[in-house]
Amino acid sequence: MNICAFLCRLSGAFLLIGIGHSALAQESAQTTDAAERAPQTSASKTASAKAFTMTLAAAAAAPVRTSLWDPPPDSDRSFSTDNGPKLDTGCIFRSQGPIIYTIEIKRFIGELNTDGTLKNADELIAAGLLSPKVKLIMPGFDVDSSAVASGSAPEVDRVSFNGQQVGILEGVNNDWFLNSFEIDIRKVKFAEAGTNGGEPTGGVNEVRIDIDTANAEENWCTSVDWGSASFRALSPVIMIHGNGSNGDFFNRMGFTEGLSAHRIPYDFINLGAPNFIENNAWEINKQIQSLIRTLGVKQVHIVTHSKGGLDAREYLAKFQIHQQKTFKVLSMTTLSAPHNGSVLADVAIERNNAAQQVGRLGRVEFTDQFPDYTRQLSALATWEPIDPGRQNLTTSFVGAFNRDNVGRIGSLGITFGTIAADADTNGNAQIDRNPDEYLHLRKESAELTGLDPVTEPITGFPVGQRTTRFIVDSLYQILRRSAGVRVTYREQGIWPVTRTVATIHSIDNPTPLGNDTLVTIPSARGEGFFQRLTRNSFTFQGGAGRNHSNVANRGVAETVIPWMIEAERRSGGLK
Amino acid sequence: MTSLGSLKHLMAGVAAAVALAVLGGFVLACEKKGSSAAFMDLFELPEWRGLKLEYGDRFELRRESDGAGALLMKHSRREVVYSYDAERNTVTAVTDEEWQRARGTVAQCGRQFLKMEGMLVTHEQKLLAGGREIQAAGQTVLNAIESPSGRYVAVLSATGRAGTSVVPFSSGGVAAGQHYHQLLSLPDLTWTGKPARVPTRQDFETLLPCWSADEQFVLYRQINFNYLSVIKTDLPSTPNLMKVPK
Repeated sequence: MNICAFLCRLSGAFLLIGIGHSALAQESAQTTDAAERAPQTSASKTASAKAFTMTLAAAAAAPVRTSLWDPPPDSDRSFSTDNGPKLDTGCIFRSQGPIIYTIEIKRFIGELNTDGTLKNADELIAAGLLSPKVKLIMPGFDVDSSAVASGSAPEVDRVSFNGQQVGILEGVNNDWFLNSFEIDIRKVKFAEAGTNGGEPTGGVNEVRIDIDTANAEENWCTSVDWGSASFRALSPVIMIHGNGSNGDFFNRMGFTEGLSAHRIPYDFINLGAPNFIENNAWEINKQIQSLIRTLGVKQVHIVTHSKGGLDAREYLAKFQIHQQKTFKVLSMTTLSAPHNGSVLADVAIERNNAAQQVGRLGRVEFTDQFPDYTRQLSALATWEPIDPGRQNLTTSFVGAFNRDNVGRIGSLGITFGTIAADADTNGNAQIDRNPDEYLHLRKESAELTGLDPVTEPITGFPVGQRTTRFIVDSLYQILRRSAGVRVTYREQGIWPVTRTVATIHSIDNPTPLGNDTLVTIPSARGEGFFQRLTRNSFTFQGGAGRNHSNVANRGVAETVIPWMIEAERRSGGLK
Repeated sequence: MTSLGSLKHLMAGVAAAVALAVLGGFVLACEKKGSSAAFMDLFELPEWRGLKLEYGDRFELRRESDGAGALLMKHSRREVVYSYDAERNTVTAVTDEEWQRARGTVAQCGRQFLKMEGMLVTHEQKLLAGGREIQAAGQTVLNAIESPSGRYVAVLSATGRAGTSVVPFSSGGVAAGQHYHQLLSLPDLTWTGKPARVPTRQDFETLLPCWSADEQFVLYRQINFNYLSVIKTDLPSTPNLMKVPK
């Protein structure tokens, strides 16, 4: 007997009249089985049980602690029932039983059979993404499973879970004992994901205890305080798309195909029209709350594409930092995120600013450091519009963002990973049509698709090549060559007929940089800033190269999934 | 023949002059579009012109006193403050002292978002709320920002198509055509008042809305602070708004 139990017994009488420790109230009000208290009439047993039931009636609406243990705190892997008509009943006999209560597992794991059990449990177990057993624990009172009494067998209280017998209660005379059972997870009912931001539904599992099944006469009684079921499972993946795209991007490119093959649950955040990092961080916070509620989880993995990586980093720094204890981001993997910005944004914005400065009569030109196609475009009177999202992707903007952000999110304990890529799969330092190194970029761009049939002569290139190839190759060459841009202004002509000419110069990289046509490899790896926080990193290059679209294909998912599992085993739901 | 040739030259010259005049008039009309009486006024910001967006920038609004006085505008990287006088409909440059003297609640424009759950400007540039599309004055919805009290949403839309780009993942967010400001009332999702025309210098400009703390004004600024316009909301004065925590 431990000191607590001793003190508890000593003060039991006081507790009955006011202190209210109901565990001891139970011991004092009805502590013994029929075999110990014999002779006892059936009527007196019933009266005794009724008296105890009434003692506890006032507390019936709220969870009552009759045993020595609290149930494990609810999480997305542990679900308890601490209240019910057949819990905290006081020691009851077979005729007052059976003890039945339910444990609702409000967690979406995956597709369900019609009976609520998991459809793909075997595959999940084989992949190590789900524990084969659910651990059921419950404190049982006064279970005389080893009792030696003349004329009666020891107490046998059979425990069933969803109709399947899983064992018998064990215990000691006149005290509590914490019972533990292992349930085949394939017999456990899980929840359907909620809808419209609601909680998951279903997953109601019945626990039944048939009391004193070994004796013809009822001799033994018992009571249960609470029941709890726990298991291990991989947390879901929340995906955040890039600028001007949508959640379906991950389907189109095949990333989700990889997740589905491993039966990993996932969902998307749709950020909507191109927007600033700060606005998107707000939107992520808004939607992620709804998603975790819908899936019934308290831990997630995040996978982002392109600017979605910066949006998510801002979200972590501004919102998640305040809620990591209640809802945890286990890992975040960025696919071609411009962690150091993109010079393409610099070029577009400096060009537009220069155009504003020189006015309608002025001229903006690029030095011959830039590809021919860029220079041809610059000669046109119009320039393409710049969406708000790209305004946040300049190297200077992201540089300042990094200085603020990296220090904030480093303490969150998140496993960060980066995927970088080079679109030049044949290693000839340009983007080609054969092999088609930008097919998936066209698939993601109506403008490129629309232009694809167009061929036109381009200065310095053979006539008849596709316009789209020049456009995409220009993007590739700018990123390959330029670390930044600077603008100079001069007056051209003889007074009074003069005009201002703005010239955009490249600040060259020391060495040419591989890139996916929108983000360079060093930027996607976060070299210099974000890289400090990353645990995993992989670059798809050479024959395995990827462009900025198919950097989210199934093969990439196969690289990223082990990172998530490893993070989950280290500190998440598979620990 | 010589005189006929001269006449031809003269006529050609006149025709050219007329054409130039017509063309010039057209260009002027286009330039003037922003300041026509039928439109909101467009105010230049010479002291802030060409400000590039940098992370951590703060653009703030406050009135001289809550619910009254000029609307002051401050940028964290500029000394000069601008002041909008609603009665005179003018924007003038003032010193930072005026900002410091003002007692109105500060509205941080970078902290105004679309907070209502389920409300979003989609990547197709549509406004969705409560699972349905809300039709705005312009077919292309560009921005939607909730007021400090959360009772209204300022919606910016345009009649023209959304901006497209040959650079993948870069289309949308800006549009051509006439831009409109509207107020959507929450939670009933009904429009309040009539749409107001928001001037732009050219198509595909990024215009960013910002509410004053007292909800009496919505300001639209060009992203690089080249110009702005101010819309008086005519919403009922709500002094308690000033107590809304930041």
